[in-house]
Amino acid sequence: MERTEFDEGEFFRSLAASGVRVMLIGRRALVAYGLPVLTADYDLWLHVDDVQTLNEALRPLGLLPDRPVADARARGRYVLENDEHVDVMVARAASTKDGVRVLFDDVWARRRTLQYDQQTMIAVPCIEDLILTKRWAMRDRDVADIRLLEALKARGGGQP
Amino acid sequence: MSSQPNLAPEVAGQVDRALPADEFDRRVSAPLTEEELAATEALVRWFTRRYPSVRERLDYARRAWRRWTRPVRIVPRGPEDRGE
Repeated sequence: MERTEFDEGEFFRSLAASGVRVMLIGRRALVAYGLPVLTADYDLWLHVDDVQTLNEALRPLGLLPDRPVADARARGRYVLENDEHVDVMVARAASTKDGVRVLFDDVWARRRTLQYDQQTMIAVPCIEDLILTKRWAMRDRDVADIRLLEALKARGGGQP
Repeated sequence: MSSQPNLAPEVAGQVDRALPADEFDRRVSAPLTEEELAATEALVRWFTRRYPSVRERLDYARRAWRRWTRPVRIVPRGPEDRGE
């Protein structure tokens, strides 16, 4: 695969300009809220109807989907990749292991919009919903992330 | 793909291992201690003062990941280190 120089600013500007309904989730959303945690890749939650539009918007950056649109929709997730790795979830809903159903439309309605730079806004789930997304996999590191988010919330943080 | 692409698969498997639901709930629902709250507050205060914008914070995350995953080069410094 051809090596590319990833420009994060261009990535977020392309997301915003595309008009797709997409939220930054995962640890990078924690970073945006002001929590310095380590992370390797990007996690997005995208409206299922916006897959094609997102793919076209990110193609100029060399980010290519690992499967056709129909497969991505059927599977509920796919990957955009070059030297970077972007996990894209496209499910309309996902359940935590203890049965709490988290709907994209609800999380989107409650989203927070953060200013990335002077021209670019990025959407993230509100802290309560970000905590719910951290309950999907119930991994050891999700415990730490949830406790950081709870502490941030308790101290009135999350005002980026 | 593992969320830990720089780790060996067997190690990444441990890091990404799902906890039993009861253990996860017990650890998540344990009350936050004052020390935990103060430590998080101090961490956020440092990070958001040093990197006031979302862009700067996300830039920092990329740099930090590169730093943490950079291969460590061990340079022999003395006769013992050089095996003499």
